[in-house]
Amino acid sequence: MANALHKQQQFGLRGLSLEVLGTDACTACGSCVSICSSILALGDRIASVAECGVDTGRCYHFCPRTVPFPESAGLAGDLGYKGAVGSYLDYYIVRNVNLSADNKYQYGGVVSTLMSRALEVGIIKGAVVTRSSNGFPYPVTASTREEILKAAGSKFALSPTNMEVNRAVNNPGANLGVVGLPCQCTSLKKMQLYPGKAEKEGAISIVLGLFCTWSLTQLGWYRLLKTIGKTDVDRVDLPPPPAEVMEIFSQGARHEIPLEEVKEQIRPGCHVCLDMTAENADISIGMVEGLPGHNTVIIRTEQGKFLFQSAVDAGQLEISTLDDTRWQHLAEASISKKNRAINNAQNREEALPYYKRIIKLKERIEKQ
Amino acid sequence: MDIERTLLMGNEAIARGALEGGASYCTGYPGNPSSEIIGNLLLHKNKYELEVEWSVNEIVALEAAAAFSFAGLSALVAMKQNGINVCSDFLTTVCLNELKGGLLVVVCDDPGPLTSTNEEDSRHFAKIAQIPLLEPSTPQEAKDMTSWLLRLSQDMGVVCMLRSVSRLSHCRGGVKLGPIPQQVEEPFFDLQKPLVGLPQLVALNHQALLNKMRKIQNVFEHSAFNSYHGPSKARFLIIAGGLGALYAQEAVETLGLEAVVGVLKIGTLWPLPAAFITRHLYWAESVLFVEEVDPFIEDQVKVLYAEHTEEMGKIIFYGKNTGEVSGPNGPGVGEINADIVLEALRSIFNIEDASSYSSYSELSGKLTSSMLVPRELSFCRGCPHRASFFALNAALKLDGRDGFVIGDIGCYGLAAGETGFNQIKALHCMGSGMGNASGFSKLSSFGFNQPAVAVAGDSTFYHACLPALVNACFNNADVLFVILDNSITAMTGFQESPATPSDFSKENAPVIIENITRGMGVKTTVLDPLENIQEAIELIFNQLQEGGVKLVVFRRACATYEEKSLPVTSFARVEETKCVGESCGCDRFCIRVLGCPAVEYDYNKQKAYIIEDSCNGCGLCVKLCPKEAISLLEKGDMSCDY
Repeated sequence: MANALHKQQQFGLRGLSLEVLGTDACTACGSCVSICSSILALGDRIASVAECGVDTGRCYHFCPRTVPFPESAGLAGDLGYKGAVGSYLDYYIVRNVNLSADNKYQYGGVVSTLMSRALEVGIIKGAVVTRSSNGFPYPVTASTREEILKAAGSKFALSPTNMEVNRAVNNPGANLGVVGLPCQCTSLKKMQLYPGKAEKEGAISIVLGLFCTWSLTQLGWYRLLKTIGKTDVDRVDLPPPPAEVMEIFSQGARHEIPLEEVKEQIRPGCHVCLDMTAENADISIGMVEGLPGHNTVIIRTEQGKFLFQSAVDAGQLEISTLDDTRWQHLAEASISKKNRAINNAQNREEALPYYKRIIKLKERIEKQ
Repeated sequence: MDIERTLLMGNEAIARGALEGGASYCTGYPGNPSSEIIGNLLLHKNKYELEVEWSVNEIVALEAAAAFSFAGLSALVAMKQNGINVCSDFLTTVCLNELKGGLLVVVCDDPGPLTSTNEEDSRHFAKIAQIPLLEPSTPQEAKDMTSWLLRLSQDMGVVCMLRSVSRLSHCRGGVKLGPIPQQVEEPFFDLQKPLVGLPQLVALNHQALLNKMRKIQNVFEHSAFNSYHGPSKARFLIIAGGLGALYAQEAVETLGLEAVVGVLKIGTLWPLPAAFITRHLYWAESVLFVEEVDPFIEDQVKVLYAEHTEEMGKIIFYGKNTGEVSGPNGPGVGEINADIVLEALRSIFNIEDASSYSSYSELSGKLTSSMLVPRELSFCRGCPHRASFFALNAALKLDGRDGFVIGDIGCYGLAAGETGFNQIKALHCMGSGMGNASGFSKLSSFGFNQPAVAVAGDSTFYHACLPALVNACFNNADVLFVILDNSITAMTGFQESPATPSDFSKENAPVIIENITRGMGVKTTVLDPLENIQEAIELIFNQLQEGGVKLVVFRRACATYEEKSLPVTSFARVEETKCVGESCGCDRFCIRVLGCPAVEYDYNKQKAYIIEDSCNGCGLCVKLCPKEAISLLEKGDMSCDY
């Protein structure tokens, strides 16, 4: 079946254009950008600007919304179902022991700490992280702890991070860590498994995934900032229910935008995303329900475990047990996102291959 | 007096006719196939007492030329067929004046068309304006008619018109030259004879014009520009105008019909020499019409016949109305040629065997195929439009609202094809793009959200875009205009435009586009698209997100023109070790997408390479090569031999 499908379809830019680019399935993860000049990005806009005759291309293979090839078929998140939060080795409540008073960490500072540690111990030589300029995110490769810290804090508009990965892996001796959203982690895993590309083997050594419920388009983010008349954003937060607002802190002042207005600016591709907890990352990191200043950390792979343990051993992270109730709530929230995504895919008029594929997962999720 | 005979192109002959006819001022707007008339006069203006200049459009040209006529000197205005539409408002009023000096409008039509957006037959304007019209068949006639019309115009005080077509304007033939007169009149505008078109005076002036036209018709009855070749009292008559007369003659001789077919060549097309034609019609039982584009003579002769039916008896007419004179696309469409006339005669005379005749089209095809290399329609190497349309294409795709580009008249019209990434989706006449784009923006109140971007060249901008720009501002349109300023009128042969910098060849300072538009309050950004391709994409994208009237000037000199005066100092070269050819990550992007004629592909090596002599170092491929495999080298620098 798979072979027949491969023959019928184009697994290059043509296929990507039909299935993802310019459709409501695209997440603007950036995985198809910086591979060639036929796909360009501006902010989080990604478009094919020329056709390409390559039948089997990386742009198609790297995309988190395309058919998983044999090498990547066993992955979780949007590529398959491996339980409510994907497969894992362990999970904890974690915080950076040295949180500075004026930090911009969203929660417990674990992402910055782990990535800095990876640099420190030589697991990686550079970290692809997302920085903000006037409130708008863009990806950079950081090579020092200081540069990593400049990128701390959540960004609510999406940055096509993986285009920076595609660019940076071409540097001789590239050895990268990447901080990405779930869709980006899925793509990064596909990149790591992509066959026949020896020059990239080992180029991506560690992937830290961020929990994600949705992300805003940059244009949507711009519209929201316009409503409060600010662009120099210090911090953004989504307080837990019943507060149905987004908080934006700018120049010491707090601004509120009703969550209903915020949600109108969500990227359409996020509404069909199954992955809340970055199931294809080495380590997934998010907030802890009812415990500000801390992170939920899910260790998923051996290399993730090694890095995490290294940071704990160095006394940089403080860990505690994530209780069953919180873990259960996390699993429910994750399943809830999956079900929402499948329902949304069923309700969409376009019959994209990605929608057809995730709808098939419904039965497996319900059995759980 | 010695008569000098020389080989002249049709348009050169018209230019010579202007000199021999005593024109003191010649102007026009460039447009194929007319451009060489003013172009040639400009080359020789210093030898004669002559003012020659390009105008920004045809109506301004005609208005300026009319001023010479008002002051007692003669003037000529040259244009292509579209130009007469532009100047028709003034033409149809100035024709009512009693002119002092000669005023001749030369219109070169483009049947086919070869390089136009329509296939208009300009002859109809002679009827509309009620002005005398001549059409030459040879370069000799082109010169003779030009000088004769200038004198007729002065003698009769009427505007006159000469129609040429592409093949005549661009063919070469032997021409006997005549003397060039010295200017004798002192220019003077007579305040006692105002030229004011008050409604109360129009009827009187119109009547006077028609009276003059009747007199001119009498002159035409005896004109040497009309002639008859063939048997006396021919029962089969061909009535032909312009090149049609030569095609008819060739077809008759090829088929050996000289004894039965007469060819009536008409050079004076309006007013038609009715008595002259009637004399030949009297004997005819069948008439075939041969003329370019519309059945202009055909219709008039049928009217003439209707007035004389009883005395003439039954005549069968063949032509475009009846379908016998027809090219592959049907009657009245495309150029005519000797083959078409020959096929019409074969059909009418039922001649089956034409084995002794080889088709002119086939013969010319055979001859040229060995000399011409087939190639795609493409922007020249180094053309800045390639970068401009790459940016427009990318920005519109990134915008994602199915935006499109509306073109205008210029080299950039090629962007309707692959060389411009198929960006142009509408293309009509000078200045129409901006008007169209403003209109599209007004569709937003009906739920339309596709952005329409209008592009125009610098020359087109001055020609016809300013009213559309003011209109967009006046009516609060949300629209983006892009001026592709290459500082020259490139498509028609590098005529200067008001944007041409003074250090090119002009003495006067250029008229700066952004000075005008910013003065209108239009947000204007100027950028070199070749130097700043990424910024150009971002600029267009950002402007598309903004409301109001925005204008981007992509300014970069025409590479082909620049090469004529400045040496090429650099060229691009492919580093083969970095080039990945057809593999994922490139797929011959520099060739397949950019389509630069200087870049080729070595299928054996699976690498791109650049023809050094063709490359003029624009650097676009350097900036867009996904593998950074192309770099710029200084000419003569062989140190970087990869």
